[in-house]
Amino acid sequence: MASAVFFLDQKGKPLLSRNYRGDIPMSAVEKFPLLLMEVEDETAVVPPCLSHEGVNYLYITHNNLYLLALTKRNSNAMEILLFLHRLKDVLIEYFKELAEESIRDNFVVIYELLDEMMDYGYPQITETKILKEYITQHSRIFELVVPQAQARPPVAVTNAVSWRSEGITYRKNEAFLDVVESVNMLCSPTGQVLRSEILGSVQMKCYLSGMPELRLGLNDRVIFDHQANTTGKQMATGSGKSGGRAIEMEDVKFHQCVRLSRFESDRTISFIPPDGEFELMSYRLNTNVKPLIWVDCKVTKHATSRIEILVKVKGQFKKRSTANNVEITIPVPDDADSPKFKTTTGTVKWRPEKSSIVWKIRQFGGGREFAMRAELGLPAVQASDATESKPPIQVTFNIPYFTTSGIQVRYLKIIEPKLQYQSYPWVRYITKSGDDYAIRMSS
Amino acid sequence: MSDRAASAAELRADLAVDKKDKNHKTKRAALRKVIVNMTINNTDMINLFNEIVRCMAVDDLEIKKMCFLYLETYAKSRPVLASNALDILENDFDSSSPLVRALALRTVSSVPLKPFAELTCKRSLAMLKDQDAYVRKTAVFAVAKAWSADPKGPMSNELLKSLNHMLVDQNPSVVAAAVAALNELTSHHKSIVLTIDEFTVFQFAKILPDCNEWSQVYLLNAIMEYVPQSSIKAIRLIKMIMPRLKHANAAVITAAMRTLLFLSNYAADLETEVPRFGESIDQAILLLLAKPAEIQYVMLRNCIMLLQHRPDLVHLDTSPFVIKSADPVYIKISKIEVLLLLSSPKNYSDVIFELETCIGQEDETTSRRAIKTIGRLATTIPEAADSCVRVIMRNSMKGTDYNAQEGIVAMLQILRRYPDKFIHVVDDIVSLKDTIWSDVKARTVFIWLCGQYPSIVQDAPAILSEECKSAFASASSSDLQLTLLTAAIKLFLAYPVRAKMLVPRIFEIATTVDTSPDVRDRAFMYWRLLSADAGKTRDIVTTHLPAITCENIVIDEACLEELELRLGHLSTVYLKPAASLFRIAKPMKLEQSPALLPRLKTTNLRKNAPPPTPTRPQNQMSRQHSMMFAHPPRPSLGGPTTSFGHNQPMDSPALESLNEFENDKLIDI
Repeated sequence: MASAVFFLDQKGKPLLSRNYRGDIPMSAVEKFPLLLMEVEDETAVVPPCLSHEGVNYLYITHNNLYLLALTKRNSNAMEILLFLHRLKDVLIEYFKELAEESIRDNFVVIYELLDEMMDYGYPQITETKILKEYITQHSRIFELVVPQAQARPPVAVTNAVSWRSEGITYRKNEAFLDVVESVNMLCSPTGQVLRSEILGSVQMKCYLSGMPELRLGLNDRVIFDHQANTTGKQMATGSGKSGGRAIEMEDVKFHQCVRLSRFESDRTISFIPPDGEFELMSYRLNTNVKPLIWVDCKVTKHATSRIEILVKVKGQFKKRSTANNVEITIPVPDDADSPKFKTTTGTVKWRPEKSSIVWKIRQFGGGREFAMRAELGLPAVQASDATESKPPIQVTFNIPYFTTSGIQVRYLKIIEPKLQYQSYPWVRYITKSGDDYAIRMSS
Repeated sequence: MSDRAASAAELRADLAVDKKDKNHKTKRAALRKVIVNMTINNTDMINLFNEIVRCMAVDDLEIKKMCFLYLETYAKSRPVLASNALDILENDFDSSSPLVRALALRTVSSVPLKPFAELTCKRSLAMLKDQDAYVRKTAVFAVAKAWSADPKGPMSNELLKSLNHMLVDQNPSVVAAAVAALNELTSHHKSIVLTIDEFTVFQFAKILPDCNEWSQVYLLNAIMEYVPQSSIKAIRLIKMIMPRLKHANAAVITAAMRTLLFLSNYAADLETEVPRFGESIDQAILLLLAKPAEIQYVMLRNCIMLLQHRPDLVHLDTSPFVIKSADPVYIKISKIEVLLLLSSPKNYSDVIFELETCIGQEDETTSRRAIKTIGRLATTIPEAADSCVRVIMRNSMKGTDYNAQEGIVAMLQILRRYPDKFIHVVDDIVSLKDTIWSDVKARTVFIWLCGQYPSIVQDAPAILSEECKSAFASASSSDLQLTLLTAAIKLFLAYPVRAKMLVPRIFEIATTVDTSPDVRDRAFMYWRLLSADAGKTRDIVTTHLPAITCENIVIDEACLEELELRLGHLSTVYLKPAASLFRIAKPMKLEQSPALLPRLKTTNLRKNAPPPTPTRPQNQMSRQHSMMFAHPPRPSLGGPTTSFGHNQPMDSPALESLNEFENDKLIDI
């Protein structure tokens, strides 16, 4: 549990704090910026948990802010750090962005939230949708409508269904379901895939009245990890169709609304959804994916005069699909200058502040291939201690109407037992590059 | 904002407005200003205490909230004025709004003053029976606060008992709160113990799915207070808890993992009963490794513990630990640590490949750590030694200065582990002299080489006498000085003529200049040895060293057990026993029960641990000792009495201490 929570500015000066247990003097926070500096000087590694004179400092950072929790016991670090992240998320949803100014302008609401979200150092509720029902940013309006004597916490705060309130109504009942797959990949310069994974996410937007029961059915090829063992290690491939191979999902993780025990027993994904947007489930496929977009890069370096870069890029996905907004970021030396580019498609820009050139292609058909040639000048004198830092080539893209894994939604049933309305489920698919789609440069 | 830095005088009038203030608009605005000023530490606000207490009586939730916050902040500095608020607060306990009741109780229980604590004691018990679950939940924590404020007070027994009753509340959130409160009180007070019987524990497991995410964490923690008496019970619980590993909340996953690992100690035939147990744990670990950096970090540190403690259960491959350029440095370092633990004779080439990639592409700290780790890999897996040496030397020769410096330090370990195998690289290291000279650690190693391989290092006498000047000049490291001394003697024993000038000079400096006592003693000792019998000196100084072994971070068994029971807690992040970090931590261990499985002695922690090293030449050691004591130094010689407390060979203690230093560092990061 946490004894106190602080918001600190860039320099480590407290902006706002809440003392939950009173067992640590609040002045302990003054040591925090010094502690960060000390640790940085000593070891050059500053982990998110620090201990000093019996006080433990756990923190996360966001937009030049520090969110810090103190504890002097052997507390659950996972719980505290996650709480800080949730606190950050809640405040972002409340204020659109979380920065020094938004904290300064909202002291009162933040105190109220801190009071509800944690009691005696124990996280209580971190669900923005529910908090918003009784802690409103313009509480004035709320007060006028509801006389104080009747003010009560939403039932959801202590209910089994803690993510949805009763009595929601919509004129048109709709549910939107997006399957988003992010591909992370690391390739060697020769095209060997060093690491690849698909991170899938099923995101929903529900505009449904009452307390609807939803059931989601996925295609038969999807095998959740529990059954997988018997079928042996089959790999799902990006090219789909090839004889309906199994899609072996790992690390399946559900929103808290999904009945986990039910899923465990008969693999049905059934749930009462929260209102509005949420992530229903996420999964990971640890399979060998062929690079959807492959970049071949040849660099010729003429020391002290210029550097030539020849880039070929190929779309290795289905002909009828199209990748949108493809961006290829190729690192160049820090001291390069006067760039010249030649390409058949798209635009190339030099980003000196990031020491890279960026090649953008709006639309990229499956199976197509493009080339680009770049030439940059190098200074005549070379710094003697230039480090050989070689970041990889980064690629970002998105391909609509297509999932790399081959996952498909068979049905999405919506039943509201009391209201029995007609509802409209919508389903979309998209594949995009993950945070880390990189191809190493040859040395 | 305009309402910054207002003075108490300005606000006083606004707070006192009465009749004309429709819907308390003015009051509310003034209070907001008070809160803002309070937050920015405008101490003038403390003078408004009376006005604020008066506002508290206003029947308006927002105004109340602000007034209570004010009260909590300043009560300690104005105890007398604060107690004026007690009547109003007591009224609010009977409000018809559950929000107000809970708010009042939360406030009263948070003010660290005696009359407030008394009021909490008096009223919280009744509020545990409130019809609203939200109020009951708040009351549970209020009772816990009242109890910790005065554990020996007159009411303390009653408070505990009433908390116990809450364990059967109809509302799961209230049960979870009660469990969290009880768990905390018992874990920090030696006088009371939380025991949970079988019925209750299964009840907890049953209501898990009905709870909000944080409540699940508290319930899972409480399940660990129950000691399964039979394997069947443990397995039933395991099956009930397993689905929690798929929860979206990282704290729930961690708590479930901790509880499952705990229960697995009591479950016989786990593999047949729950076939996917190990894999589910592995997958939960991977899930957490895909979370934000701080969460990842906690999990990575726990991986270091789990891989040592549960090599039978946790099977991870290296791919989740590939170092990404966007990772913060603390993640990179922890990943490198885990990679080393995962390395085996089968996959070492992947690990080396990954580490080498780090060397060129990452920051200095990561590069250094990668090189150091390759060195450790070489000493733990003999099959990998050749490729490790190749990689280290390749990067030392072409990379930056610090690569070479770290490289030579790593090579020291390898040269000692495989004394004859890599002599050919010494030449290359010698050629790096100018690159590494600025780094003290690397220089120390270089000097050690001068003494160890005097035939290869051609200009050793010149290097040593050069270093003599600077090493004793100012407050330099005594490690370096000790190494220098020993190296000089070894050189002398190998080539008496070449080091003829060097040795007397070094003796003179080391015994006259203001150095550390260790250095001076060692110099005197060598001096006497040489003047007594050069032949025996050779036996002592150039003795055959026991081969070193290099285990990874070694955490002892009992500590590992405790860390596992605390998975995800701070002690597992620091990887140290809780008792050494936290004054009031109760020690944890697996409680005895008929179902407790004997733990396989993990003699071979890592299947790929180096083959047992040739037994240390015991007789040689004792011979050395007897020799030392056979010729006690005579105090009459004029030097300070030398202590012969060493029980290790005399060769390069400086380097021994280097190793210890590294081991420490590892655990700290």
